[in-house]
Amino acid sequence: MTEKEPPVPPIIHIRRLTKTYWNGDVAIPAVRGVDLDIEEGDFVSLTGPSGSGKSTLMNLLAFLDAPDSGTYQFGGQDITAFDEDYRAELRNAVIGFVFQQFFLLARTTALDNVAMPLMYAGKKKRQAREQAYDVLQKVSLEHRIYHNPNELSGGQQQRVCIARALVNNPRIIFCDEPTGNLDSKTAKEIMDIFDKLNDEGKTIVMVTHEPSIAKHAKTQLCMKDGKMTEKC
Amino acid sequence: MLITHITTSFRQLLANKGKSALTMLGVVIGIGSVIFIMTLGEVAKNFLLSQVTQFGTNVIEVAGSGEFGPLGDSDPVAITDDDIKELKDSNLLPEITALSAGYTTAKTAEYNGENYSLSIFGDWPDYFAINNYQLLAGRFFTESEVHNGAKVVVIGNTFAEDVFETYDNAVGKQISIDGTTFKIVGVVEEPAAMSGFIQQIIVYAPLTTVRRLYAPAEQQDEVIYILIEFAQGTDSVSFERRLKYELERITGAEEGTEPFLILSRTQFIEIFDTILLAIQLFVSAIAGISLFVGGIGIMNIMLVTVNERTKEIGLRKAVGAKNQSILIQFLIESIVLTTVGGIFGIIFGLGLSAFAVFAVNLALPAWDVSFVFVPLAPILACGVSITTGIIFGLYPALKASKLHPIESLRYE
Repeated sequence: MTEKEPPVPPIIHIRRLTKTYWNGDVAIPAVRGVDLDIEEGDFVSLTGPSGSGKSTLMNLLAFLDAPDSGTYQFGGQDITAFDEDYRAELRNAVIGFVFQQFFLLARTTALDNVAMPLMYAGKKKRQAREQAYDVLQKVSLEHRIYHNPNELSGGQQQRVCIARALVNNPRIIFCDEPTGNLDSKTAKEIMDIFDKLNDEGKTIVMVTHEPSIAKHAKTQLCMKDGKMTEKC
Repeated sequence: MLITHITTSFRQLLANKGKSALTMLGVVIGIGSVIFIMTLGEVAKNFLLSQVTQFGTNVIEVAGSGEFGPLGDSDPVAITDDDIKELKDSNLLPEITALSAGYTTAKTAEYNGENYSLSIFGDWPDYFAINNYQLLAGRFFTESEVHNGAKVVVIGNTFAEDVFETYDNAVGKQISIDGTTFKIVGVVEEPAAMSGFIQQIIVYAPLTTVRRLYAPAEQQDEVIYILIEFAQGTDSVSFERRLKYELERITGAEEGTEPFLILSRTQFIEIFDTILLAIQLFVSAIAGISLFVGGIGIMNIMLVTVNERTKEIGLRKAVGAKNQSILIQFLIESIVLTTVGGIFGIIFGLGLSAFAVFAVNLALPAWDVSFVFVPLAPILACGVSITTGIIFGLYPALKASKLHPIESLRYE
């Protein structure tokens, strides 16, 4: 018998995960038994036609929703049965979100938008702002910290979102069409940021339908009819 | 976190100034009227108290038969001059320091071709001392003038000003009352309440004169009211009881009947307090309705806000806000709305009260009413505002807290 290092569990490990949505009385099987492992430090793109279940899967992976069946282990810990409050805590602690529509708070400065998740972690306002300033610096927006979202360009707004996603130093970042509302030049700038973050070791999961964006990922996954497919 | 919620709430409030102002109106009016009625009640009470103290609080008034008539089912009992003398010398009532008893009736006076409706009080000179009347010009009538039935009269300052312009000018003038000529010997300063509120001219003449001229033959030795001043520090309840006993004994009134109306001046305050409380309860009920309507307005605007900010709620939940945090956030927003409304209501109520006091002073300068700040009122108002915010903000806040993060983010 040789001494072996215990294997590092994948950050995400799901088996036979299912989720059905109800539109009135009509059942819509959005995710139909997905098996998936995502290693720490990976950059995963998730593509597929609309209605393929890729957003639903991302919501499940990001603890925004609970699966109907199947198992989900995050960093080796089974979180399938976690309740709503615990999932909120987990999102706050280990997950960063970047959305297509930015979802920045109006009439709130970039600094406070970025600091917001830390408030729910119980951080003091001053400390939260200091941390927010650090990540805004990372996305080269230190000169824009007191601007409200309506005073920022689309690219700048998305960089505020990235800063907000990074502020709690998450283990994984989920992006939903992060460049969907941006022109191609700005999209490239944003993708450069994600590439750099991944180079630094951040795990990234990105839902997109643009092949050129998906190419940035190390692992390209495709979904169709609620299941993983080999070919995109 | 709490401070963040409060600043966020203010930002929301200022972002929709017009909408917020209209929403808060119900609360402003509700709180404003509570403040107004509490303040004015206190102002009125203080005014009345100052008037009563001016009269002297250690005075009891007794009304017998005559213009007050019988009280209850009993027949009127006459009080005669002999009864008064006996009462004054009663062993049971050693605390009496002064006593005056009189007869009063309403007559028409004539001066310089003008007619004036007035009440003429026939009494003893002690009347002025008991009521604390200050002499402004001339003199009071004397005891010997009462004995002689002299046709002299003392008038109040308002009447003197209206008819003779100056007080000194009034003294020595002849005035005809119901056809009899009287000589004005003095002008007294009447209590402010009498000069302004009742709007009634009162003149004072010797008891015997008034009775001889105006009382019917069978009432020539009767009085219809008694004013009794008693020593300071007397137990007024015990005094009143003994007084009642003596009055019934002396006049021979049937036992168990209530032929006399005995009113101490402190009782006036008690009666006023009761009336004031009734008015305050009534206005509070109206304010309650206004607050209820205002509260529904708050609930409505909060529901609209929750609807408008569904995406924000979704985002907050996505980044880790628990249901409870969202609940507290929206509850605080609703409390901020009602509290700001309440503060405006307090300002509005105090402003209105100050204006009312100013207006009264302008119309009736003699009253000299002063503004009173009631510290309890704004404290109570703040409490009510916060409570309104909690009650009417709870449902929208609960609704917000239960939103699903994904559905909220997708909400269009």
